[in-house]
Amino acid sequence: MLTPVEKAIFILAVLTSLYFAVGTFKKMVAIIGSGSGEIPRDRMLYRCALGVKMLINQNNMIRNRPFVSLVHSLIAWTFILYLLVNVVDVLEGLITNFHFLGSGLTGDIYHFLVDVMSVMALIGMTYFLVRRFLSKSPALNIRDNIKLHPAAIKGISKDSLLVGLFILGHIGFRFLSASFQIAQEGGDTWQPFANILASVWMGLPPFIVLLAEHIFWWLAIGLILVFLPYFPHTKHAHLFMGPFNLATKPDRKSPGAMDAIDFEDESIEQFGISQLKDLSQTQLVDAFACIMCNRCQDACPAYTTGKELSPSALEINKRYHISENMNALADGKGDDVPLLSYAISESALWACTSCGACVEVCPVGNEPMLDILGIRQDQVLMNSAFPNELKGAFTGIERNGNPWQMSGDRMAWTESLDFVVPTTDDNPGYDLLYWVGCAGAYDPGTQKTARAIATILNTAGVNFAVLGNSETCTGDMARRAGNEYLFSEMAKSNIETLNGAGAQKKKIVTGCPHCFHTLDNEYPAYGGQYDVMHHTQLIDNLITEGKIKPESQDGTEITYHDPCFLGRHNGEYNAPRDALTTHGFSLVEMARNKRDSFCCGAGGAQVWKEEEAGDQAVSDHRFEEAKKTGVETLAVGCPFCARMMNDANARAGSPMQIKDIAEIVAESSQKEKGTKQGN
Amino acid sequence: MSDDVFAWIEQNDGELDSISWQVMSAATALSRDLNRPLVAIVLGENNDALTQSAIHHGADKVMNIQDPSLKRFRIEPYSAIFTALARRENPSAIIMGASTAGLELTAHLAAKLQAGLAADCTDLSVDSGQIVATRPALIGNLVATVRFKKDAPSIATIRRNVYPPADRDIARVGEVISQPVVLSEDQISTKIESVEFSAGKVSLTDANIIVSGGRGVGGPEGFKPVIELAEALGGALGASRAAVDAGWIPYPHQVGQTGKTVQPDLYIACGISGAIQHLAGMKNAKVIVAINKDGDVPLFKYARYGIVGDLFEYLPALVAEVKSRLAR
Repeated sequence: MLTPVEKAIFILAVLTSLYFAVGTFKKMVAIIGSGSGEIPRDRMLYRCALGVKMLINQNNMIRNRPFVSLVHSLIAWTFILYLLVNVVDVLEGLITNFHFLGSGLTGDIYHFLVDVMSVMALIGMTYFLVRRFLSKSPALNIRDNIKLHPAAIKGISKDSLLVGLFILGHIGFRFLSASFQIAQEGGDTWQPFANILASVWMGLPPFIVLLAEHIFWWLAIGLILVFLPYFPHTKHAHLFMGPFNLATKPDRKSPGAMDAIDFEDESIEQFGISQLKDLSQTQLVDAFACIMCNRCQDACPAYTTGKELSPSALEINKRYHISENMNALADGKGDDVPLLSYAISESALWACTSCGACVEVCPVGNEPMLDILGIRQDQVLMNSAFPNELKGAFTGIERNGNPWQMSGDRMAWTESLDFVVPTTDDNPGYDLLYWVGCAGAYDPGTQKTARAIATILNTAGVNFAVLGNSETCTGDMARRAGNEYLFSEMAKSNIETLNGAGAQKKKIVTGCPHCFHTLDNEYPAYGGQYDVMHHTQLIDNLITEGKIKPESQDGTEITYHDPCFLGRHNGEYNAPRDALTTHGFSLVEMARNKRDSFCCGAGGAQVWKEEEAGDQAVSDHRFEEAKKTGVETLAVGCPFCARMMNDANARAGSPMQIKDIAEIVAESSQKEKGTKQGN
Repeated sequence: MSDDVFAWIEQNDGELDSISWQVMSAATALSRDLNRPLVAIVLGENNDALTQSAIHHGADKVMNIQDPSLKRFRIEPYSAIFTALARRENPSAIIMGASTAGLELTAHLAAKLQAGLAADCTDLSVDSGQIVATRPALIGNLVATVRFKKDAPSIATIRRNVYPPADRDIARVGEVISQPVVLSEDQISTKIESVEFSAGKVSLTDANIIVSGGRGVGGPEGFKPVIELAEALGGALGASRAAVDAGWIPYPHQVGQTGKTVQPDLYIACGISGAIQHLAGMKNAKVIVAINKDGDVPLFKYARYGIVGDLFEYLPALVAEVKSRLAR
């Protein structure tokens, strides 16, 4: 189709574009390579397949913002198809009389598919541009109190406009070119949309139609050639960095499981993340993969309640900083600009509840939460700069083994029970170790839950024991607050205690999702391998096995708040619900539940400090969602959720009952026992 | 070499810190056991009354350093005077209260004199002519016994409210020696431009008596009787996180895990349930009094005295009683 002169120009243009593209792509690779650690390279075949799968199924992002996600999928699938279309178009241009798939039925189906998909993508892209620039969807806005890189402030709109116009232009010009080709061939009903346009052109002089076909072919392909070297500078790099990021995501036992730091390694000079160069390779890929959709921001409890934190702003700021300093960074001339100066504010840093919602919701597999926790490590371990209120909790864990600095007996909660709770010394032949946790041991409210758990174990005839006064804080709070050293000390000493009591050969049940998370997911890195359950899982099992028989609740309505460290971080959504529904509660779900659940506001060490400045307490926001269910009882499975919801309940002055599932089950089991005795 | 026992009489703008007579009480015992004179050190703008009072409280001798630059505590002039005095007189011991100023001043002094320092002691005694200090460590879980090296003064601060105030005897007489300042005002780099007090004159962390309100007071108006009792008792005003979160009272009054940690002699909790975040900040108070309508709240377990009843009935009655007894 192309004239010999055009062919020569085309080849020259391709070579020029490739030359520059190789340059910028090399820089991008060099910058990612400058990060610490390595991008996983094991099981390459599996990872490649995973990337392709994610590209095609769009990582199931349709479950949030379904309409927008559907439109995106149409554009994305069209683009995937266009990988082929562009090659075909070039080949058809270069090789005379080359017709891809021939001119038979298969060729016709191919043309039909391309025609329909192109129009859908054009409509979709127009919708996206209208959504961003005309109707100005609030979902795409980042609030004024969020720190934005100076280049990002204008860059976000410019970048989005360029990418939008590129897609519109590329597909649109190609569509026009096709329509002029059809006009020369006298029509093609297999390309219904282009055919309509072609009928308009048919009246034009043939040489104009031919010229137009060539011009639009050049514009369509030319846009790609022009855009190619520019790719790593735009958010459109998500096209391949997204699937790449998903395919190479480090295998974590839980999305919130943090990597251990080796404090014995004297060559480490920087603990935690201060600057770009301290980020791991996969964290640098995150910056290139981010498409600025702000889904993380919507899910973030800190952002929702007006704090200075937006996880997407963090990724966006990283990318603009990289883009602005691409040459220097690629040459290994790392900068010494702290991330806190351009990527995230101090208040934002300490506003994170480590709920993991941003990680869970991100369609391209970004993990902004881990950046934040890494920066906290730098602040605590290198600079001793952290909210003053955390000091008390750190010292408490260090000296008293609990963050409240309580020095009393860890067994005091058992005093009002009518049976003896044995320690592992009293009952070395135990089957199940009940890890009470600091809240269960000391917090008057949670002591009730602890007694309920012990009562359930006792009623079910489980041969259990507790560690008593040799139990200490697992260190979860210290780790989320950036005090990795304190966490590692707690992990090591607790593992010694647990192994001393033979817990590695037994089962462990915890009364707190935070203890559960650390024992199950984070102690293995320190050599502690345990079979750990959360108490709601155990209760669910005991009910199923018929070992406890709670009285039927005859459809009493109840709602349940997912603790982040049981739900999102550990994927347990069903056991607590089943523990309620199997004896007749009728569960009324809150608007946000399970993986999309909204944090109570306590995690990430928030409960040990004052909440950062914002419009609302996270707990109040969540409590409103609970109230909207209209039910009278809110079931929880975490002492900290309980505390936050109780506080919000008292502030709202609303007559809601907040109870741990253990208490609910123990009460109804007791009742039944009581009735039997009465009879 | 004088080997005297030095005791600092701490004042701020002419107002004596009550810890000073507790210091005198600890120092009197040391001077008796060491058989050395007790020298009170008074720094301030106008010390006439204080110097006499120091003698009445057991000082054998008073070093009086009087100058407008010493009106309020500043580390530079205070440290310079103490360093010069200690170098010249070579006392066997320098005893101060573990107040904010005392802690800073003794640390400074110990560094300057290359002397040993035991901070926040609960007991000071003499064993074979040597001072032995007892100080709790690790939040009271351990007790450390500290001995000092011999070639320098033994410096110690005593914890507030551990020693009783020294007995007052107005018949006592003693010598008052005036001493010059070391630094003139223009040699001091820090200037005090103004002093501002936050609501509630008494600082929470230094207070002997704290009266606190919680969710049970019901609203900002409900703090009125709580404030009245705090004022009548000369105590500080505290609050639980619930009351602060509700916006009834500002954050500086918050006692607890994420607020202030306090150890007063008397802590009166009004309408506070005793959630663990509050207990974490006040459980070490000597005497806890809880007033709450609900007799089941956890705080009653920690309270020496509990009133199950309406705080709006009991507080005004308490205020009236305290006022009438103080007037007597």
